[in-house]
Amino acid sequence: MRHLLLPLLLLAGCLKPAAIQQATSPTPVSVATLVELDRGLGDVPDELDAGIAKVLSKRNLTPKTLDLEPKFDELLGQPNSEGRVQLLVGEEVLLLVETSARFSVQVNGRYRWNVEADLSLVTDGFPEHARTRHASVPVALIYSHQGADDALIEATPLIARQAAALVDEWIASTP
Amino acid sequence: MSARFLVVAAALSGLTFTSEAQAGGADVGGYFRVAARPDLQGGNGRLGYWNLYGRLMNEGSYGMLELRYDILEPQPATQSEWASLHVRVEGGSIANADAFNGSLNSFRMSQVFVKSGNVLIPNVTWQLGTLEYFYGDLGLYDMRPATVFFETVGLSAHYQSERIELLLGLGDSGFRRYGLQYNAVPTAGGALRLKPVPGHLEVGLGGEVKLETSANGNVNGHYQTPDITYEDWVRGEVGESFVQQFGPELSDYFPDPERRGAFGWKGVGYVGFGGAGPLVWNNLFFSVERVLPEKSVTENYNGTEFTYWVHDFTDERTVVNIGNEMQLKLVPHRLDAVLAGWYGLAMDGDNDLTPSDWDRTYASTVLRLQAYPSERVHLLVETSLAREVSHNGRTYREHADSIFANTDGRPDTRGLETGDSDSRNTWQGKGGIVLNPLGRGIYSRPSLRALYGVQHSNQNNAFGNSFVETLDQYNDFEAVEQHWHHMLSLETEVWF
Repeated sequence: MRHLLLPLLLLAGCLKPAAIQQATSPTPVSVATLVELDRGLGDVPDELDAGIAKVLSKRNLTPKTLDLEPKFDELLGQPNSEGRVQLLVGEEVLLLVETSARFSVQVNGRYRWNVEADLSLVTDGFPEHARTRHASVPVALIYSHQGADDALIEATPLIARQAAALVDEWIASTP
Repeated sequence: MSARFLVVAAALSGLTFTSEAQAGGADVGGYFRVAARPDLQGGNGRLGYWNLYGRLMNEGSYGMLELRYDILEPQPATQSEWASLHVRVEGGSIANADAFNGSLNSFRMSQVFVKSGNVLIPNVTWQLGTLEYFYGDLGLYDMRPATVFFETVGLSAHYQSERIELLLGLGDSGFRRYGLQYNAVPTAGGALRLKPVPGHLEVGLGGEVKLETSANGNVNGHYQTPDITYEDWVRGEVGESFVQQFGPELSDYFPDPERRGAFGWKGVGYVGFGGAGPLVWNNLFFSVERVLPEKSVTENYNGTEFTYWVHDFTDERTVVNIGNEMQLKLVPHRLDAVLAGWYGLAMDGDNDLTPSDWDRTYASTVLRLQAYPSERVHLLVETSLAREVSHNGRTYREHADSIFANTDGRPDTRGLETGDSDSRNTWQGKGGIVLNPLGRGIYSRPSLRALYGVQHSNQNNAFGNSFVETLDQYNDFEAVEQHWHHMLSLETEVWF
């Protein structure tokens, strides 16, 4: 076993990770995250915030998580992402991550959830110039007591990956 | 006609219904596992007989596709009505990985139902179609003892709140149970789940009852043929005994069956707790089931066909299953563990004669450890210990030259025992390397695994095989004796 493991680990060590794009100077980014629940809007679990913050930090960006709770009613009244961006946009770069998690069905012993995430990045203060991405992530939870928060935590790597792609597009297009 | 009425109609009739503004969301999910396990000891690619020794390396390839089509999409942040159609196709064959080579004959449409929520009653989901519901899963065994409505098609209502879930359902289990010998099996039941401390403690209790009547003249009903014996049935000699007693000229006077009814039931229980210290979660499941009896058997003796009914020989079968599984994070980000146990007791009040799967006790424990030398390269070790005991005499052959038919361990060509031991003791060990693209987690999937497994059993050749088992001097091949079984496996498993 050891003879097999060692080459594998060495091989893994030889894999060169792709270079991460860097902003030319440390740039603050306001991060707004929310989850749409049956009863209204709610905060996402800390793990999702942390996953997105990690992506930004690695790119020489300074994430600042916005507290959306006071604005939940106002945001709920907006018909789409553009309206919500309009409410939140300021002078700083804004990354809005709107999520929802929905239980679908029991599959072969697991609980299948669908997590949807809409990501909007506004870099120039104009909501109409927002760059957007969508992530649709299937999640197979193990236990029945796990709910929307657990589904979002499971989906965090893939949502963060979409956030990274969105930010990379912007950095690459910045002269 | 209001939209609400249409949703109700769609849900209750199973017909699809579309609303132009909100229909059309579709989603495909499922589960697959496939393995390459060249068996150099003459087996069929599984380490042992069944998943009592843990599902790992004891199950074959499997595929499942689940389609959900949103007839009326739910609106996030509202409690609006919604409806969706679910279709599941599944089966145990993948090309190049098993004897059936991915044949569609191995697949079936196992689930079709329409779900509709927030119609008539808030927080209630109606389901019409197949109704299977389980409290949870013993992941190491791939077993779900606390399941209700496994065989049922019908209607259920599922109420959910933060602390209470209640499922009530009714339908028919006749087709799943009897196929072409269909007889209606009206089924009713429910499942209650209480969450006194959400996320930390849950308890559940449920069950179902099945009442089967036999319409006058229905050949697929339950009957008992009078004046036949249990022993003749077991030996397949009912027709022969009748002919010997009354002569072949009276074969037409073989007794007519007498009508019976049948009553089956199942009770299930569940306790789940966790979210404290290293304990991620512990699931304890319980089930006790009175199984519906068998129907008819056909024998051919000297060119005459005898069909007889065996309700009274098979109506006292009870099966108990208790399973527990706990997941532990022993060293955060470095070492996880899952420890599981399963106890089963099958009792047949009609059978005092011969070993049978309906008269036995079985128990096992499985421990899996998964270490994380890196984020995506993991090490897996699993071991299991199992004991199976027959209540009605010897059934396991310990040696290649064991006697087949015996009585109290003595050679007897008319004996009803089939081996030289009443118990089978099995140990398995498995280990190898796991690649998990999505990172750490003992249940993180997809998993790509390279495993070695070993089994020791007191039973000879205790795995699926094609060895010669008789000791006939004219056999072309010799009987083989081996108690150790070694195997390598390259396999993958994914939920998506």
